[in-house]
Amino acid sequence: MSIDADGIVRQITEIVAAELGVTVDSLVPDTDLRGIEGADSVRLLRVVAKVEQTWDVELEDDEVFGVSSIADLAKVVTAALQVQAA
Amino acid sequence: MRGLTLPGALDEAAAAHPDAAVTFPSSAERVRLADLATATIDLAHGLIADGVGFGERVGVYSRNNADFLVAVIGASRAGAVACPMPMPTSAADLAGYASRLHAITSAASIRRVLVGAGVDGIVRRLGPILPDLDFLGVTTLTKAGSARAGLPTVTPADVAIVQFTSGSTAVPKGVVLTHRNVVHGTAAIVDGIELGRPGDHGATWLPLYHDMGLFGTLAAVLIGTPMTVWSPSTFIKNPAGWLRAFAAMGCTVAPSPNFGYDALLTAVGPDELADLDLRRWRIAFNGAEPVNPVTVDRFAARFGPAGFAPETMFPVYGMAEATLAVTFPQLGRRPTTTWVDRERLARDGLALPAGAGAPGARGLVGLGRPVRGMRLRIVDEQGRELPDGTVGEIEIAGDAVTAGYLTAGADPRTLTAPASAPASLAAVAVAEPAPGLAPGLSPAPGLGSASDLVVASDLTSATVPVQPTAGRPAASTSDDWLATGDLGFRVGDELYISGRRKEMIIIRGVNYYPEDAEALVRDAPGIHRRRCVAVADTDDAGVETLTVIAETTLEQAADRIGLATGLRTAIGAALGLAEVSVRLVAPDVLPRTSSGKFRRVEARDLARSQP
Repeated sequence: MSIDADGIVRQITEIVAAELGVTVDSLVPDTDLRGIEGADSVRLLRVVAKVEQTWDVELEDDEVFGVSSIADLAKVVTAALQVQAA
Repeated sequence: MRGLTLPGALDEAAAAHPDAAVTFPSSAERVRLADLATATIDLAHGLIADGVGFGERVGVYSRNNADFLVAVIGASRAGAVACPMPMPTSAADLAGYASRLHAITSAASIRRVLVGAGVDGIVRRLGPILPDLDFLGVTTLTKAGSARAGLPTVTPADVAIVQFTSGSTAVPKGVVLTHRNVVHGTAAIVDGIELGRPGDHGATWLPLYHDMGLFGTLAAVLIGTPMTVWSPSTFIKNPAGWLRAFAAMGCTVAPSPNFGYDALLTAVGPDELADLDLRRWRIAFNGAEPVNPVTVDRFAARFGPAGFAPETMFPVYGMAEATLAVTFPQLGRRPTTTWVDRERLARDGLALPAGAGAPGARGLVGLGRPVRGMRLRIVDEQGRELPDGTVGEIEIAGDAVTAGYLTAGADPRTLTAPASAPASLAAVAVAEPAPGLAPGLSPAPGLGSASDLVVASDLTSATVPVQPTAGRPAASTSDDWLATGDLGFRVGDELYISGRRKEMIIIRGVNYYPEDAEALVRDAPGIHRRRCVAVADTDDAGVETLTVIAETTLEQAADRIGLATGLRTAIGAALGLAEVSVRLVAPDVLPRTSSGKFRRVEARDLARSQP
């Protein structure tokens, strides 16, 4: 299974925008999610939950800890998909 | 009669209900009380073999799984003091998180940290940043505990747990709780809701390192009532799924801060109640942060059709300092909201009735009356008791109330001293107004009767202090009262909380201090002469917020947006707090006193007037 990295970033951007109530245009892969007004740990966990549902992966808390941007999250998802594909 | 120490109470529960179990769905564990008791004995032996000292403070670093309970009770059985340490949240910043842990471990002089299953990755990353800590696996130590050296005798006056929930990041304060505190505190919870009725089954998704998670769980475990503990992320990621699992297991009691009930309202729509049966749910504790009357009403309306009874919602007042419970409603009473004139409440400290939902009215949810063994009074700044309907500071006393706090700079020698010896009291600063010994930690005989005298004085004249009895340190018995920092008033038997004396906000059960935010952003480029003030405020909906007001010479809109975002990011990353607004003002706008100190109250008004 090939993994579409750009597609993952795009989809995560949409999830983040929906969960945090901001526009897709206001986000870039390096946006620090913790800097978005209202982005508390609870909302960020919901982002993680949506990401898990979307790709049917389970992300360990250990992996998510320290993730602060869409690009970071995309990396974690990509790694999880690679594990799944292996 | 239950055991008078934490491990003693567990042993009694395990003997009476060996097959009662604590279930951890998130880690697929189910532990019988008999096996839990054995595991804590093995861990205690392992700790002794490792050289742990009596009264030594030991960190507990574990997710919501069986290892957490084994570590807390096992450490206390070894004569050590269990200090639960916070787990990281998602998107936490490693350096900021590690410095928070460091502040705690240095305040408590912690060297040994008991590590539960499933946190190896984080511990590997923390290890190099916190080189003074000795991380010991709970499983490893439990297996090493076969040597069977003798276990020390632990008494009710010894310290069992130091609960770090109070204090700012810079100066964390650990609430010192003795075995007596823990036994009385959990018994008061049991008494207040008649926990242990046939069919009762406790549940929680709150972190076990949080006071409401820990003591709520212990309350059930120590009387042999089945308990199910989920991981917090299970609830947060999928509140609806959690509710269905909770109902399917037939759980009857669950606590949550108010935000959890909001999350359930968002997650489960009115058309999604089919095959959800909440008829067995009899207590929904709502505490650890301000209770919102709107949430309470909406929750009953939404989930009533699924069998949620109005009296199940149970708004309570508590804190780690009280080993959790301070006031509960009378069992079976429906939530009650009183409406008062917001302006008079804020300005004059008077609760004057106002129309429900009227403009200028503030709705406050009644939190009940003191739980068994808890005494409560509301006093003015001179310590005089206030009449009904008048706002003052809430003070508490009782066997479940802490003798004081462990603060940074504690004498490390106290690590090896028995907790009941006078030497260790040097590390305990009793809460305001004056230092003294409270019954829980005192090695001196006769102080128990002193607290009885306080009760008697309450009945006769609250303003006449009881003279110290012979041999007692020269201090008034008012020292037995712990000032909570919370402001409130009583109407009859009902307590209402109206605000807080401390500059602090509570969001999702976590305390945040404005001074921490100030320290973080004061030196940011773009801020004029380090001039910034952070103020805690409550908006019209009763939601607590933190507003940072900073002076800047920046004039370009893009620069100002960049600065505001940067400040918010810095605070969010370091404190884990998102409810932060940033207001930028021109140089010299922040009101200051003649000596250059900021006027916080006026600054708050300034924040309110800004768009």
